[in-house]
Amino acid sequence: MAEDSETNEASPAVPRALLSEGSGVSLVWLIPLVAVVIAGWIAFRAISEQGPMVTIEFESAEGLEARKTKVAYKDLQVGEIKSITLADDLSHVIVSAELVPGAENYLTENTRFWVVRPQVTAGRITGLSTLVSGAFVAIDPVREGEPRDHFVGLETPPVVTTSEAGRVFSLRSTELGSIDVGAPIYYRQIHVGEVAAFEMDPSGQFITTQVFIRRPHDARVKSNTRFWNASGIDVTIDAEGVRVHSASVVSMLIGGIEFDAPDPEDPGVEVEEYTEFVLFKSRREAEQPAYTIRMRYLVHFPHSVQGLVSGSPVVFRGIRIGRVVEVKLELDPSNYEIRVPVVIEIEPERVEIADFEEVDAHGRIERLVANGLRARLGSVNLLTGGLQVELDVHPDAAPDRILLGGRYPELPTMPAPLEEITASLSGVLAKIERMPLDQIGADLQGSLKELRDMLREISSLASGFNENVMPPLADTLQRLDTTVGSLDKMLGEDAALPIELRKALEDVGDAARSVRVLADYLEQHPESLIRGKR
Amino acid sequence: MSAVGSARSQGMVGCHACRLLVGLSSGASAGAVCPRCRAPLHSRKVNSIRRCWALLFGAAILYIPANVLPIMTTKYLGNSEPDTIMSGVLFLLEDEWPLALVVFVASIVVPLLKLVVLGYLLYSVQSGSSWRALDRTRLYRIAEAIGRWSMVDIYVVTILVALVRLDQLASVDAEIGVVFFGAVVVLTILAAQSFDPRLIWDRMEESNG
Repeated sequence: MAEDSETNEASPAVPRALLSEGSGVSLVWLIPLVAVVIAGWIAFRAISEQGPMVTIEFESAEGLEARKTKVAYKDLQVGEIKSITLADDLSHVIVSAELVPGAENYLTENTRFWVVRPQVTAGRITGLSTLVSGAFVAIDPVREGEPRDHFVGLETPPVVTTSEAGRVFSLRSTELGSIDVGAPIYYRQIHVGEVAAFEMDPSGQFITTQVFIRRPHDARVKSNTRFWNASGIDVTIDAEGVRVHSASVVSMLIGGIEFDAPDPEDPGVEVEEYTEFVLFKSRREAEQPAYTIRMRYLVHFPHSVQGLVSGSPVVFRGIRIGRVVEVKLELDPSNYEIRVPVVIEIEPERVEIADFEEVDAHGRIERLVANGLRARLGSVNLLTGGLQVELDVHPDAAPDRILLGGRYPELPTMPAPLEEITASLSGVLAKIERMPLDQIGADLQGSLKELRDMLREISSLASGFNENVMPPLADTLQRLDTTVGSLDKMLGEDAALPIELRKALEDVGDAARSVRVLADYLEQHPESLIRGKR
Repeated sequence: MSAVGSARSQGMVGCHACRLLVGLSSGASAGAVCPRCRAPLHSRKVNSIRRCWALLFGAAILYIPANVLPIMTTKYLGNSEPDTIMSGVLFLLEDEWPLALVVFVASIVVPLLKLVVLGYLLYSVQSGSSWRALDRTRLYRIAEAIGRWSMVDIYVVTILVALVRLDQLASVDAEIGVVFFGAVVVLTILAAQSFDPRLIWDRMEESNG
């Protein structure tokens, strides 16, 4: 090489370059390589950390903001809202949120989303921190169920989240009774759970209330547990008087449910979650033994049944064995007679049968009727005027039998004791009415007239007597005076005659008094004229 | 084009270190050293095109994460909001459009322009184009001059991070995107430096000669 340079004639003064061995291996390509590696790693991380996207429907986007509002579970951020769009029909908003990687396992049909906003209800205050930090979307992740990525958000926070230990039971009732979601559940007045949800049976007949009971109290729910509505103040005015009962101030305000075992001796059997129980209307109702067999009978009362309502007790010798179901009016088209059919419900299980016969309950009733079982109305509470249907066996009643063939078998009735009194009283009145008072008056008037005539005659007689008899009478008197003088002597102080006379006068006085008593009695008991003194 | 011709066409090369003019046949440039100071002699920048391409590719690749990833996070009263370069521009566009324009040009247009310009120059040199060589040289000078201004973004972020430290009230944190953005700027500067504009004219001579 050096020889080559020296042979270069063009620039002899210029020094020649020295040549040495060297390699032209370029490391510069490491730079794009490193860039590719870094960018690739970032892309890989971005893709691998890409969490699942979900869409959630909400009624409104109040408090929600795209790329700001977070999705949180137990106040820990697990995602973020990416966009909020309106639904096509403008009825709701659709929120798209990206969750952290790994969340896809918890996105199932049972997973729920809701917006946490500050909320103040009668029972509690929640979400106060969102006043400062803004609303966020809460998630209740559930692993079990079909995976999905579209959800319908709850408008109100759920009472029970899956992470809370406890069990849910169903309560069945005919009415809701001022219970709302979130209403407390009490066990011996300890707050052990909440009402999670309620829904109406498709037939509209029943309401199923879901209640959540926290661990460990959920174990207290056994097969024999009774739930009852402890809402508000339970004021009952019925056949037995006035009663007031309430579980707590909170339940007075927002309602509540209590449960307990009616029989402490009966341990009961463990139950599964979602077991259905009956929700009783009151503690008293819950504490009554439950009878499953109910038999309906019809009774006809001939008189007014004012005070007898649906729910009035049916008693047998003072023991409640059923209730009145229906009271109505019925027109018999054959003879236009209006009757009052009363449907009663009897729980035959309330009657303990000492020696069980192989006869069904209807058959037993039939025999009892043959023995004189009769229904009659009885007063149960004079204050409220309530009536009850009393069943009893009257062996001396006129023979009658149970009437079959109608919708319900009909029991024979007999008048109530009160009805008997009323009947006899009206009989007395009728008799008084039948008395010929007018005629008596007329007769009395005639008698008085005769009396007056008689008096007039007496007066004329007296005047004649004055003229004709007085002069000789004066003479006679004079003589009589002398006679009396002698008589005076005769009678004297200690003579027997005056004493006799006084006695006679006293007798007359007694007689007059008895007449007055008689008159008084007659005045009070005019019927004694007819019926004699009682 | 040139009556004299380049040093290279005369079989000459200047030493980069001691500026000695050394005679070197164009065929043997690799491994030559200065006879006076023993510094390596290069008639043209060594591996200029290859090196420039490599740096350009690196910059182009990093340009993607630099723009996609957030460059900083603004925390204000508990709300944290990450910002990419583009989201910052869009934010400024709402009421400060001149400022938005400045940021847009400095942070997005300039790096992109440099990538495109250098790519075009490399392509034109490699394909031996002789089209408007003077303008292409000017283009190279512009690209080299404006490249450093892209660092404005980096400075803004570092100053904000240092200044806005109000704990819970407000704070600014730098994010990974700013690193990539800085790498893009540095790589494009290096790429521009490794490009040898004399190559533009070499082709001209060769095609003329």
